[in-house]
Amino acid sequence: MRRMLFPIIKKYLKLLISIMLVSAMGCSIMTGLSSAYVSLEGSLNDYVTDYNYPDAVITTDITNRKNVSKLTAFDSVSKVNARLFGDSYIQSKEGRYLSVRFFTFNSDDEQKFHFWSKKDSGNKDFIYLEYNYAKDNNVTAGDTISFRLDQEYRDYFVAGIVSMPETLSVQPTDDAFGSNADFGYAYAPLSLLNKEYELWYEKESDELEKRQSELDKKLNDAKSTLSQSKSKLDEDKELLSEKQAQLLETYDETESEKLQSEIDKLENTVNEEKEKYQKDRDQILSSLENEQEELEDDRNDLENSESYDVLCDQFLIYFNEGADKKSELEKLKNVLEHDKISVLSSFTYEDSAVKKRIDVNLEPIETMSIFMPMIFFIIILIVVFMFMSLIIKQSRREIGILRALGFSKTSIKLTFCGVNLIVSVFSILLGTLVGYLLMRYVGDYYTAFFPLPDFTYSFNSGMYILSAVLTIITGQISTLISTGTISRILPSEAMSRPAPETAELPRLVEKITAGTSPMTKFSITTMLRNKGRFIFSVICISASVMMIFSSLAFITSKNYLLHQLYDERINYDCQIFFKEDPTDEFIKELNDLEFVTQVHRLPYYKADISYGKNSKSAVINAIDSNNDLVGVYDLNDTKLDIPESGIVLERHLAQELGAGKGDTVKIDGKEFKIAELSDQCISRVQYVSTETAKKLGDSTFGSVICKISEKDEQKLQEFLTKNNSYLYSVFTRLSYQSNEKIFKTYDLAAWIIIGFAIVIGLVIVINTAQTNLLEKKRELCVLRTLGFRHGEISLKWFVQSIFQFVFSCLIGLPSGVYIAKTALFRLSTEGREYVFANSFSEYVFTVLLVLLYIIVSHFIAMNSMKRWDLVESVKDKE
Amino acid sequence: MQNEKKVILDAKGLCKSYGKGEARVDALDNISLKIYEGELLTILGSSGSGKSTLLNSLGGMDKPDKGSIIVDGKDLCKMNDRGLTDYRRKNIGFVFQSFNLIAELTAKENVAMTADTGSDPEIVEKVFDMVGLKEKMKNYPSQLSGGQQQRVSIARALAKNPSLLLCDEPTGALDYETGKQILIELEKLVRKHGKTVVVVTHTQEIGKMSDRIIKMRNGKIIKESVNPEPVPAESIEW
Repeated sequence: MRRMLFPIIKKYLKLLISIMLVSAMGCSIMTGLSSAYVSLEGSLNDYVTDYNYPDAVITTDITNRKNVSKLTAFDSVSKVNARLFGDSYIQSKEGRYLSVRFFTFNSDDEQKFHFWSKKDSGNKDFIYLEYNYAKDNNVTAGDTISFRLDQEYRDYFVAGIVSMPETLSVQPTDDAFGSNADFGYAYAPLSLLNKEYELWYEKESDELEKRQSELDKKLNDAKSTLSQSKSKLDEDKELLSEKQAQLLETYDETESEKLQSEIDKLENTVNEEKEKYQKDRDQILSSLENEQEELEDDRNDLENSESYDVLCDQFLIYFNEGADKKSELEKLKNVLEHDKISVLSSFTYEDSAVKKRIDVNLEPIETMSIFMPMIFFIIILIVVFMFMSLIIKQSRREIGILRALGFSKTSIKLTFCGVNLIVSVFSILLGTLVGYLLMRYVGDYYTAFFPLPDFTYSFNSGMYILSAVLTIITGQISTLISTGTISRILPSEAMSRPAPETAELPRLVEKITAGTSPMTKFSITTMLRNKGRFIFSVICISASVMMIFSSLAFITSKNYLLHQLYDERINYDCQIFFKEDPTDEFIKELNDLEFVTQVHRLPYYKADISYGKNSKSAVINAIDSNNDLVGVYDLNDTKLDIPESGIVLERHLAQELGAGKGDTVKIDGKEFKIAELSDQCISRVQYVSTETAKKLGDSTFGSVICKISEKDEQKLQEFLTKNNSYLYSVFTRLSYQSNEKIFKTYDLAAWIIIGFAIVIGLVIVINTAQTNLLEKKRELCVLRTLGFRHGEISLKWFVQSIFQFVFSCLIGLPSGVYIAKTALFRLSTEGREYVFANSFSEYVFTVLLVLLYIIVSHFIAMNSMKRWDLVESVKDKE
Repeated sequence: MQNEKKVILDAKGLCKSYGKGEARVDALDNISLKIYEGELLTILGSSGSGKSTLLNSLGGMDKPDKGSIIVDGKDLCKMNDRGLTDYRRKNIGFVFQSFNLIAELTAKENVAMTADTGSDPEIVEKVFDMVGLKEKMKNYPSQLSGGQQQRVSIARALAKNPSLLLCDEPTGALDYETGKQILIELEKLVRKHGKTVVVVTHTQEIGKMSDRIIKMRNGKIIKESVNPEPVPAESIEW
């Protein structure tokens, strides 16, 4: 029977190549994705380990570095690095103001950076910038940027563009920054901060000296003034004594009276002068004493101030092997809090944003590496079964002859299994190669995405072996099932022509085909005689329709969110945040800037809103009645006016509270009637009038909105950074870009799913069309012999594809709607509701896309007919 | 007599071989022949003589390696696939040994399908009349006997009113009686309806009913003879 193997392979080479390609796809997906996952996981973990990401991080108020010893006293702790961090601004080369979080480092810490580029700073003061931040803002190593590290902007040399594991997750905090895209990390040597301290110290010392000099001058001036007053007093006292002496020596009454009068006046004057002198002296001395005291206090404060090299506000902790990190972290926190050091936050590596980012990005690959191969292997099972069944069907005569010659059913079955085994081997080889390329592609994508300094490609040998085994098993199972028919092939088939197919067609088929041309009837009956194949193809194409439609649903939903937020609600170009409400004078100054228009206050409150027993944290904005820059719409897309009293509550929040229009909610104990319900699917905000906002008291953040063009943004930043209360600005176009960037990764996934759906559809339609063609090869060749053109046959055969298309759309579209709605519901979070926003055009696009690939598949399948040998095909084989 | 009749096909120097080297087989070795309008031509030969290859070449199903086949002033050997398809569509009716009817279609539909391709087709009922199967038009091939299927096959070939009917072992799959019926039908087509019919067979006796007989062996024409008095198909015994 071994001699039969290669003749069978030779005869059905094209069919077997199709089987090989489909099987190779499954093998490649499995090996490629699983290897990509293993490589990525390994590379990320190595990155975290090699670059010394700490086991835990504790953030505190500014405290002394001495406290490190309290932490290293624990047996579980092997090392603690302390550093300072702060939020500030960088002015880029183009003059834009960018938010930055900087971290200090010093050589003792053995801080490991990966340098993407580096330049020798010489003696210049230098910093490092994080890779993505530098790339987004066009900064390279060797540039000089203006950075406000402490009090003032100074020029610093960018000595390196770096990354380290914590830069995998660069994100602004909730409290300090908004969604401004211009945010990133910088790393500054501690010595730089110390330098800032020294400069500050010098400046303060100079200031104190200046004050002292002024105080001394004041004292001297005061002494001089008092001395003058004293001289005058002494003069008057002397005069009084003289007059008194004169009185004693005068016996003339008139003279005595005159003298007494003068003496009385002088006495009053002297008393007044004395009083004044004493009062002035006390006042001046007291005031000068106070000033001197203040100066002394300031001097003491200056003397007691600590340089930055003894301060820190973040502890990076490294535990010993085997330590229970979570519980040890709690102990460390308790020690700090016991010493009245306020712990602001803490986390272990397992709970860190870095780990979360790693997991979030690994999860889809892991999921895909499990589910996609499963789907492919199911398809392989069915496709191999279809094709092997066809080969066996076409070999009926040969099988009958072998049976007649005495070969057993088992040996014949094993021959076909052997054929499939050879095909599987080639599939595995091809699949491994393609899988390797897939792994490299995914690896390269993620290397650039994170970015990762090193990516170690590790081919997952276990998965390779598993995929090879699965490829062989699925092939053998399908072949064994398809060889089931061999048991029913009798040796007598060698002698006789196969019995013609039954003439009777089901009544439904007769009805459908009544009135159609004979060619059309032939095409339809061929399709319907193989119900199983037809149903399978319809199911697969329906799945393809579903995937395309639901992926489009995500894309349109995302577009809807962006439209709702950025076209309807936010009509301003910039929102500026302050620590507290800006003064009217400042608003006027802002208004007077020629490059800024339509300035409005938009006080920003963060408060709990309660209704009955329910309470929810919410954001509230107060709007002027003449404010056109904020649009608030209801569910019917009607623009809402903000009422003078009451609150416009966002409908999802209202639902969560169990409240409705007309109900009264409480905010900080004060009552507000729900005047309207707005509809916002992203970043939900409640609205009150500025009048009503007075009830809310001081805003959480002061905020102002305005219109400004892009070219003037940096001028605005320059103006704003001079205001001590200024926090940050959110430019609408940048936050739109930032949101769009997030959505883009999901868009990519959606389009990958659409691509995958098209591939499935193409494979299924081509395979079923080719199978149907091959089954009727003889009849179709007869028609060609009788003079039917290739195009005529192709057109009539296309009827089968039309049936597939119609049924698939009828099943796939409603399913797609259900899947889309379910998936969007599951994806939605409190801050972002994905709405089913597919319109007529998405339905049309889906239908047309499916129709397009069905047409393409049909033509590919029909093309194979051109290569048939008419003479051989119409012969009665004997 | 042939000289007075119109030549509808003129084949010259046809050569066709299969395989290479020692396995090479010359199926046609410098074959030349003419086919005259309205004649019944029989090509005789044993298995492997090249008769079927010759028929396929004359029918535009296969292209010879060398030579020319002129029909209506056009050389089939120089035509592309489209040209050969059109040639078969307009000029040729085929009758196969194994009938090759479409099982999913009724007899009438099998014939009607081909009739639609002809430029001057016969009415379907008329051709069924010609083959004597009018009452069986709505039957499926599996509901017909072998002889009836072959007659439907002949009707299908006639439906587009071809200038030439090529029959490859038309009685090969039939029993003696049925085969004889088919021969009678073919004879009727020539004698009564003036069709031109070429029959390829290995049965010597069948040649007796023909106007002309061409004998082939090993790819060559070994003998070409005119039959001055063809025997009626009814009288043939084999």
